[in-house]
Amino acid sequence: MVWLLWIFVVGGGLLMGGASALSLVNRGFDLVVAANALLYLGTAAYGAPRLLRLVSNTVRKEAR
Amino acid sequence: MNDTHSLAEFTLRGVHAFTIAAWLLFDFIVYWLHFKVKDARADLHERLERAHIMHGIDTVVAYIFIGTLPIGIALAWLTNTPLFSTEWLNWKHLMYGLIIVAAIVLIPVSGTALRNLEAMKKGAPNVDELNRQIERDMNRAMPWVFLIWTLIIAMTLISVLNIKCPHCHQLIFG
Repeated sequence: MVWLLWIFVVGGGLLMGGASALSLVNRGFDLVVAANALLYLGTAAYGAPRLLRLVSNTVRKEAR
Repeated sequence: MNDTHSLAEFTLRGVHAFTIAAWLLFDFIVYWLHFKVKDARADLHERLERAHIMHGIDTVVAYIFIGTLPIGIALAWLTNTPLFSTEWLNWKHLMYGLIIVAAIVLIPVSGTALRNLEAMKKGAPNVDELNRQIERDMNRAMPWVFLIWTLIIAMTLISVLNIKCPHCHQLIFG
């Protein structure tokens, strides 16, 4: 479950953050869309190291 | 082709609305259960039983929470609505993003009750400390839980106010 949650936080954050950033570029500045970009990309940036740590811990355990 | 499209859209809308209603209902049940779980004077077996039920419901809620985004995106695609093209959808996405932040805060505190109660059942000597941890984590989680409820209700209201009836030509927020 924790795996799925972090994959979702990073994947969903990148998808929605990317879409909102793209919308800012294509349609011009909008405060709510900019807040979306900041929020989703922020959660993806926060979750990425945790997901990587989860992956590396699992790989290390498997190797043992 | 058009009928199939309408049926798919209607089904997805139904699933979307149903899962949100279930999410809110399950959250209320978990809230009701938490009082007994954090009550140190209550019977341990009863607390543990409720903590197991809470954990089960929380798992279902987590799947619903994760599923909401792909269902919403599929619905936007079916209705030919780009994700960040309308004021009301932008607000809904922002609120969902805030729920993700609340979920990130809740991930580390969600397992404390079950873990500590099981430790107590196995005869851990530091019962008072474990009980304090349960109460502290549950009380810390509450503001985030209330935030999630508020955001879900706000998102639901925005969506309901924007339902396109056959005679309406324009959405309320556009």
